[in-house]
Amino acid sequence: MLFNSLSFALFFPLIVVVFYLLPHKWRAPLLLLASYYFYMCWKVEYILLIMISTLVDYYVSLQMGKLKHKKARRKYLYVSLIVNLGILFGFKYFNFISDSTRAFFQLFNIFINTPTFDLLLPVGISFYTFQTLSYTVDVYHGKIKPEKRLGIFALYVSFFPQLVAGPIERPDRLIPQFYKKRRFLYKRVVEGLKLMLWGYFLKLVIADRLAPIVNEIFNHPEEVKGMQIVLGIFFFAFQIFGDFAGYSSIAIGAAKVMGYNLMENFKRPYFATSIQEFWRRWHISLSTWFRDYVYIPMGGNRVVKWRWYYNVFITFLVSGLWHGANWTFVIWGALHGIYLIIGLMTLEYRRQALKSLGIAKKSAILHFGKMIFTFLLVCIAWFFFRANNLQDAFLLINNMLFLDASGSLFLPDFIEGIRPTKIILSLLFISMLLGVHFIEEFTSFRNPLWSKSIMIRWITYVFLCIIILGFGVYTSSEFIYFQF
Amino acid sequence: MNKLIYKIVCLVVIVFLLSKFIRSCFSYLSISPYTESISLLSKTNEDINVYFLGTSRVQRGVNPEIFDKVANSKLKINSFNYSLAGASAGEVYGLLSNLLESPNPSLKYILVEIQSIQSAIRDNNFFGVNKRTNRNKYWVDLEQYTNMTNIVKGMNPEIYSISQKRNAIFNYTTSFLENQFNVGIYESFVTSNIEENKRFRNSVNAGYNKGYFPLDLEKSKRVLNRNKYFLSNNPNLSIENHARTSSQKHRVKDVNVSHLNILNKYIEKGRAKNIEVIYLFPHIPAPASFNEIKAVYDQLPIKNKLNVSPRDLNPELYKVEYYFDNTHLNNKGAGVYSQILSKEFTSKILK
Repeated sequence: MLFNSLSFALFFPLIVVVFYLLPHKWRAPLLLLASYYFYMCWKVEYILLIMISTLVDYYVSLQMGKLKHKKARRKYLYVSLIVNLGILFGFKYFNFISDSTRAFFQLFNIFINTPTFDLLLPVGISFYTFQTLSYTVDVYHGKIKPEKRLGIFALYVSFFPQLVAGPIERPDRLIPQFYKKRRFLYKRVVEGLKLMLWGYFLKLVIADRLAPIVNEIFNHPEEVKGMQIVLGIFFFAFQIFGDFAGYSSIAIGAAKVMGYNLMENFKRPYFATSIQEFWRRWHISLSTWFRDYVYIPMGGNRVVKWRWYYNVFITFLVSGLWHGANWTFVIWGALHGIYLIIGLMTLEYRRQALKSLGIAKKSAILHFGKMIFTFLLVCIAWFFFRANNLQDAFLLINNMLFLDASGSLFLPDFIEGIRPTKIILSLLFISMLLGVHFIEEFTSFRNPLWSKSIMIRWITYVFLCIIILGFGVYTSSEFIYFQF
Repeated sequence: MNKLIYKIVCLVVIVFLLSKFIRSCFSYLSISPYTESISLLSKTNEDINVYFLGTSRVQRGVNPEIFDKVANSKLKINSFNYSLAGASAGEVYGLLSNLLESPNPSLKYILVEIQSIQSAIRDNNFFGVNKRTNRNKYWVDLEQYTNMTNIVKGMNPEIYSISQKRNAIFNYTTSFLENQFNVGIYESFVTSNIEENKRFRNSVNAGYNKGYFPLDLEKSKRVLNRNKYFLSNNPNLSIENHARTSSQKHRVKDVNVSHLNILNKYIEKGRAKNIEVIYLFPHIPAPASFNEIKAVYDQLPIKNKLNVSPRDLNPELYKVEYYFDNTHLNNKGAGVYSQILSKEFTSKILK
């Protein structure tokens, strides 16, 4: 079920009303049933994968809880890792490895047949796998006690607002919330609804408006050139932000309406002044997951320098692969790793250069310049992220630099299916988004949805509703992160 | 919870009223091709007395200039093609209703292509690409909503199952409700008011300024591919199928009474304003929807219908060289069809 579908518009209010009408002890079972139904609306049989992960991790964590020594617990951790990562590998990476192996041998004129499976990638598999893995790893390290109630644990794995695209929640944050009695609190429910409203604006007005333009450009690499490709990358940066931040906002809002707090996932990422800061603002639940379960266990920054850089690079490479089984994602992850390593290596030189040039650290121009530069670096990486495959990516790079006789490098010659009004409206709504982010970032004012003035708040509600209804794109498109 | 419900209701009411207000500020929150027709019509500065209404079959198939030329030897005709490519049945009847509501004083005849509800519901234009877009609902006022749901209810259950009917009524209902809040329609309003359509410009530049847009002038890849596909996939067989269908008889049990009543209602509505509504049978009847349309068509008053499609009457209509694709005539074919139609129309009027 999609958040931007009519079925969700009927499903969610119904669940909320029943949730608050039921006594506390029946709420978790209701949410579990609702969550399974929510997932089964996409594909019934794939709920079995969630159930397998749930049962295996529930069992191994209970077993680990009985053992005092870490060494003894290890075999159970391995069981969890093999099952969860095995499912993830089978559905997501098997064909990729198989195809890559075949392509590799072909380079040496060796032609081998490698098997591939025609399987549909389960929606949100990377999200719930990581969520359940964080639970078993935490139990293994003794950070948390194993959850005794299967129903509560199953709900932790499948809680519908964040089941298919996060935020990836930690067990010590989410599980205790299921035990706490929730009362209907007007203020909290309204907060949740406001987050949902903002999320729908991001998804329907920004992301879904940009999607057809971006698709047209990236799906026809042989036909587009120059500024069209630049425009495509710029639009994709906002499409993916609107799509994913929109989903997160709806998810956090929906959970809040029922009294649950999910972690913040985005903090105006395109206002970051360095790649390091970008990752503290973009997909926070995933970057902190990688920090805690990959980067730190590898030694983090408490190692010799080269090893530190290596840890950074590997973490981002794995992060790239987490997003998808395609070399474009690997390059995207590698680019971010390289950015960060170069940033770390040149930090001292940059400080000295600024000092010698007499530029103050807090200079507004420097801040703005760093923001633009970071955004450009992020866009270069997004280019690979969005390209359908490496071949397309290189063709697009070639076409981007191509200047034909009419000089169309700087004159967007709007390609078929993309009308100038679409571009103008897209730029208008992107400006609106950036305006709100600018206010939040640099002034003491908040998003007008949270203004203290009732008048401003209501004008914003009505304005957003009119914009979402009238300018929203209602073709029920999926969220980009569902595929990861 | 009561406080929340109260505030949500207030918000819905404010948004609803504001949506109505925005709509009332503009004469027509329309879709791009129709706005272009309106603007084209306003530029002609002539008294139009015949309108053509229908889907792309009519828009690409009737050239008003040729139609007028043939008819003008006996009648004084000034026609305009008001058809819409990709229109669904409700859309065409919605436009007919609008024209009858406030017709220009010189209007005498409206030639409307009879629509298949079955294929409108099945095809992409209603439940596919246009689903939940402005294209699917700008025309859904209470009258058309009632019309369409009644027609769906009246469809033969052998052709259209109960669940399909339920699905169709659900779609019409959501479209109607969405239309009350202007859902998804502002972009096309902005587009159609600030942007000139290339297709429109190409046609006018080529001298067609009476709403006829020949497919031959469209250079988009999508349209060219349609032509390529048609020519490379046994076009003779495809056209022969249509030709064979054209001479068949319908099965009586397929008559959709609701559909027939609605068509008759428009005939009456037109008469009250001295306008004759004439229903055109498609020049190239699709085998899938033939029974449904023919059954209703046969029950219409003789004065208010025109069918030039039977092969035994007009064999030249089924020459492959006149077709752009499986269902649309090319410019040459449109010329031939317009002549035939004009002759038949003239003789009907003079009878």
